[in-house]
Amino acid sequence: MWSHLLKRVLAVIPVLLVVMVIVFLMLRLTPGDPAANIAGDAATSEDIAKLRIELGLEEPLPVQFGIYVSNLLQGDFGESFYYKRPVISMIADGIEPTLSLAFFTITLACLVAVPLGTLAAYRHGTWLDRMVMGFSVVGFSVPVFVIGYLLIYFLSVKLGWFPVQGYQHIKEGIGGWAYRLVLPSVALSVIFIALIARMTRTSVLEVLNEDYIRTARAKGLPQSKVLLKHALRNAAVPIVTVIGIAIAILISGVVVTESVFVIPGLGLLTLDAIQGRDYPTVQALILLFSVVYVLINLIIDIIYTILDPRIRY
Amino acid sequence: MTTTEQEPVLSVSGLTIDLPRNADRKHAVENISFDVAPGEVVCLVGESGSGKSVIAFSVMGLLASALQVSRGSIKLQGTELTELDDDAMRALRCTRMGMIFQEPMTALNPVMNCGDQIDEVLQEHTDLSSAQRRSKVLAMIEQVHLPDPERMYSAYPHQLSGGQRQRIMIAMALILEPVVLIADEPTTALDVTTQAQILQLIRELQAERQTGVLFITHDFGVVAELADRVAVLKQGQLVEFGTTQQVLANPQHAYTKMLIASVPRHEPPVRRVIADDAPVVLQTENLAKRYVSYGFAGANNVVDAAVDVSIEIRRGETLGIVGESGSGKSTVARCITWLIESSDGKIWLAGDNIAELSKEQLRSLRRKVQIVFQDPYRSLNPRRTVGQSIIEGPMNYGISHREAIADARELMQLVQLDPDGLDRYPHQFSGGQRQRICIARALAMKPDLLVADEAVSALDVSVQAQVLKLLEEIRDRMQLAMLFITHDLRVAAQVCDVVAVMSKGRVVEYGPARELFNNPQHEYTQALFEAAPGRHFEFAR
Repeated sequence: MWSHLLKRVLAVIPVLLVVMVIVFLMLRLTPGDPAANIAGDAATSEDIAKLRIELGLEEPLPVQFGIYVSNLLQGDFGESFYYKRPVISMIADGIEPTLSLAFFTITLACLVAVPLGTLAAYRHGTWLDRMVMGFSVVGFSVPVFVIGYLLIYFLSVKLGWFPVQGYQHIKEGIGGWAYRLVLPSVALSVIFIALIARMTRTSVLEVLNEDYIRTARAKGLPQSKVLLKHALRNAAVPIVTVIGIAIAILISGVVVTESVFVIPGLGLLTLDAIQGRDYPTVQALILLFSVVYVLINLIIDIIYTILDPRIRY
Repeated sequence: MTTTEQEPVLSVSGLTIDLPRNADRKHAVENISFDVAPGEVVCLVGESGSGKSVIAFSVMGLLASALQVSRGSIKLQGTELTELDDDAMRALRCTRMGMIFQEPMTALNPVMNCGDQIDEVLQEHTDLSSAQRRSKVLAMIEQVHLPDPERMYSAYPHQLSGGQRQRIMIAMALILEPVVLIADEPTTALDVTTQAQILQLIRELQAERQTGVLFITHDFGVVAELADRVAVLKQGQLVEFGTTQQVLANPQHAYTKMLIASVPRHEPPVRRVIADDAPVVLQTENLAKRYVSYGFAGANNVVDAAVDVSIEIRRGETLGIVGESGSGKSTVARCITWLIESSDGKIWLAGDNIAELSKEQLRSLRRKVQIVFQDPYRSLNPRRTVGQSIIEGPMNYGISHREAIADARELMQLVQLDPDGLDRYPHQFSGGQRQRICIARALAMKPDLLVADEAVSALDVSVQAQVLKLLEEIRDRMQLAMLFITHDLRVAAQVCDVVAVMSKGRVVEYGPARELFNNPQHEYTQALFEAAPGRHFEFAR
């Protein structure tokens, strides 16, 4: 088990290296000049050339990459071209809204989807099952920004129940923090509810045909116990896998949701950084996202061994 | 032991269960009546589709929702079960009637430890404290003769053998001392020696507690071993019901007679002699297969699945490899068919040492060895027609489509199926027919050696007898060499010229079938023969 974990952690290093090279090259080989962006409309070509030297963009690519990696190894993620602030402090500012949103969304999605999927499987073939499946198809198909704007239009603009947009930091009061997260989380969670509910239904349905479910019923257990204790736990491995994938997708989904609801998180930061061709910020953010992906996968692997005693590494 | 004067614990009368409208017959079972006295074992015998499991599930109230009891009554100690609601039925399960199932491998929840699974019964049906429950569970684990109850309590099902799991199931079913135990083929999936132990255990516990047992089986050996009375079912009808002695020794109904006659005899028939100069088709010398899984810091886990296996098969001869699960018999078959690579030793096929051949040469040799697998339901691709499955192999070796089809039609006739069936899909055939198709598929390659890996194990006895006969005819007609892998001694006795008995990866006894069966030398072979159920009964002689 521990040796497996160690191996997995070591395997992260080449992955991150590849990510670093690709992101580095992609940024520099696509058209667009950060210096021109920063200098603005009125700048002369001399101004821009001067800025490029200042930003270190005139060095050959391998040299630039070398400087980037050596700074990184010293824990220096660089300074934003735009804001002239260390990237790390900008990420620190943006991480709370993003994590809050992700946490709210995934919790909401699991709380709704898992019981819904289980019920659909149990009542297989009934109207309830068909409703859940129908909702899944719709949930999959409607983009997050459409749901977001619909929610804003009806619940905020028409009914005035929720703020249209914005974010409140947790230290300014948990109530306001949670209240402002409701709409974005609901919007973002729809697709995950669809995904997880579908997976739960399929997985539980398969397990319900297993012999040990029949054994559980032959013991005289009530339906609820058969379903929760015997079926759901055995169906859990694929469900957990999907939840893990959902968290990973969520991070990219956050970009859209944050811009719809104007939440100053990592998503909005990423969007700004890419538009402004702010190389250090984009590089740091993508590296961070990669680490999160890898960590999530590792955690899922560990959860597998807890859920199913037959899985051992 | 029949105690008919006593009030029966279970009494079924006029039971009729309807099948869904589109099924091939109207009733799953029709007008079934029998009873089980305290301390009595009643066996329900029948082939697949006879409705025997349906009866068992209807007693437990666990019928699939598509099936409905339409008429008749089921009384448990006088309580009419067909009139009870779900909650009342639930309260009776495990308290007054317990059930054990066929597949101990899948009947236990894989993610819960065994002790907790037994404990659940007590939690649900008693008010005992957790300490009381634990000691009761441990005591029960001991009663089913499992070693080290504490360890068994915390073990997960996958850490136990099939026999041990079935003991856990029995502990679970009997812990609250129900008056009726329903056993649905509980030993079918087990090895013969394990089967003997489990039957012994059921006998012991049931006699001790005076439990009435409804035992479902397809195996007349088990019936002879265990039953006080026997009910024979055919297609949902009860055709014969009487004491074991009556039914087995003097069957009245034609179907019962046919079933009993189909049971392969334990005694090998006199077989024609294979000429000494018949060419050797397959020979292995010190064949070995070792599995090594590399652990951390050099802690390697080594499993010797086969060690020093030296066998030979001549043209027109059948060699049987007999053994229990884990004995290495299938490993040998897979090495010989090159489905896996052997780790040591030599294999000669028609004089060629296959280790010395190139990939290309091996590919052309592969045609010469064909295999028929155990489960005809899963070894044919469900989305391809039978014809497509049969001609795929020959066409792969350069035969034209037209020629392959013509051959396939001939083969269908050879395996006694309608050649027009080539355009149909596997699910349109019965199990026995599918196994015939698998045989035709293997023969389409014009092999020298046909490997049958438990090829008749999944079939009903009457079908089994037909397929065995077919295999023998084909072997004689085409002068094939045949390697017959089986766990079933009676089947081996019927078809094999020479038998190799395997245990723990080694061949422990090897010789002509008649000599080996009449006078087994090795103690393992003797134990294996001793454990075969129903050996001492008339029909098995």
